[in-house]
Amino acid sequence: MSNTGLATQFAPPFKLVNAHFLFGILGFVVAALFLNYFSPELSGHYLTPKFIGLTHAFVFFWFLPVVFGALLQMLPVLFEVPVRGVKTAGFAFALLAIGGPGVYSHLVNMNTSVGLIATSSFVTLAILLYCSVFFRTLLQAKKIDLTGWHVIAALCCLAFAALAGLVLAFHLHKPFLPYAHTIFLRGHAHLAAFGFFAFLVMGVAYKLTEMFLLAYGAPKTAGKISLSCGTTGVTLLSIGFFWLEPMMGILWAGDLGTILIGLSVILFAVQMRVILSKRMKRKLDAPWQHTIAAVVWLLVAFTLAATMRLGGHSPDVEHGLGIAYGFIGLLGFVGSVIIGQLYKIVPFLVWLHKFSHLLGGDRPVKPATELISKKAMDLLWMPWHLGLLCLVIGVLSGQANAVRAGSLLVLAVAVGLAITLIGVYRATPYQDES
Amino acid sequence: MTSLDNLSADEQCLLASLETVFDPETGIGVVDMGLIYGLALDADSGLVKVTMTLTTPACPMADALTDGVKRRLGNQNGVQSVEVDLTFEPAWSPEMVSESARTKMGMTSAPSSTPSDKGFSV
Repeated sequence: MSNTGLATQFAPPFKLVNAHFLFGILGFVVAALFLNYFSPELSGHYLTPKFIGLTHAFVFFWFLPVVFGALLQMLPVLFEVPVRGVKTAGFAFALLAIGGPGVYSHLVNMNTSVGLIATSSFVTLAILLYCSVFFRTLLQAKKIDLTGWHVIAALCCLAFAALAGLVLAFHLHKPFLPYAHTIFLRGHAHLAAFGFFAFLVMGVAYKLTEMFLLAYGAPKTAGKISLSCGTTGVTLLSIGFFWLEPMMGILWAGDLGTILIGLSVILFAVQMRVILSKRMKRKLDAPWQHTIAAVVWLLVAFTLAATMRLGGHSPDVEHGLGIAYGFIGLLGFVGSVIIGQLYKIVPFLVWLHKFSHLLGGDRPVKPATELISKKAMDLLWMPWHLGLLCLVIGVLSGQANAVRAGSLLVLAVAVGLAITLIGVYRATPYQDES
Repeated sequence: MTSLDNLSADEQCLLASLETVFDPETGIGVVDMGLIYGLALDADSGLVKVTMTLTTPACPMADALTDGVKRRLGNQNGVQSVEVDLTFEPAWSPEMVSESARTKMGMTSAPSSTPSDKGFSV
């Protein structure tokens, strides 16, 4: 029994978390602008420098700042421990903010000078520092639950993905890998996309769904099996991409890894359904609609991955499938989850840090959910998913106009999201104010 | 530990005053959410003791809610000081939510479950 707060006292400074979120929100707009600028070059090609550069723009400008900011805020809450290394996290943020744009500009222009190595080193160091902060924080936890194990798995994959990225930077500067670097790149991409983002999203989704929708008490059997399948699958796939396939021509490890990852995705969807069935808040608002749509995109991404793995396609089809797979995995799955959770987390944070001290006072305070415009959230839902659909169809069919339309819709959503979320920061605290 | 049985008229007024202290996510008051387990007023000293819980031990709003309760009760006539005792026994469960709050949240029925925080090893 205690009469002290349990988690908020462990939270890192609001400024640090805020800086991550604001960078990410504006970074999404910048990445979407680049997507529009290069959209004519995205249909019908495979792994062009533009595509690789854009992928990194979305990851470094938008996803990572938001995800790291969210982890800094959430780990103390979820595990009732203080963040270890707040200053380190601040330093890592600066490195990421400098290195991220540097890596992007080098990749998009296929500039493999020593500058690529320098900026990649900045980003890799930033990621490793973040990982060290999160691991040190988690080490203090009394027990690690299903979400915790997902976070640990995700951070391990992120560290390896970052190191693999640095290896690629060195190779692009001065080739030394004994096989085509595109195969190595696949290992790097899957470690980052499924190993990091998917594990993290899965683990955090279980916990946040329980907390936000009051959906407690669901058995976690499917989630546990999903994690076991996922970690084994990612390990096999990585070993396959980095070593067995290019060096020994052995394909079974990658095939088995793909099957296990697919199983993991299906079991994740099953687990989410079990948790959602327990929810007290029955109505699923825009944030949850985004999250559910993300799960659908993830299943579509896996279907495309399995199709590519089966082989037997013409090079053109194979290339189109590859880019569509990248867009769906990156923007469809990760992007949709991040948009949905930003709608939840930003009002929650702003309320916690700016208005919570007014609760119980003379004037009624707005709930966190009233700080954000429901109309804007509903309005942005359809253009986002329609935009992604246009991008995918455009890439698969080689229709430049569809890619352009999809890119414009993505940009519109990025701008709309920024305006909506900045509105949250500017919200007034009392219910009797507009 | 205090309880909500046999509240005096003053104590009932104090409990009613907590209506404006709400869960920021659901917008539902702590009383309707079933978070208040007990309340007792010592009329002589003006001390109010509140026993309350949270929907989960990891609730990020722990400080906000307990401070809100203290602030609200502290502003009531005859109250000199407020003590909040946070407990997780019994653990909060959906059955504790009032009918009106269930309607507001669109609940059809309360799931018969309690928060699970069991860890596991892989």
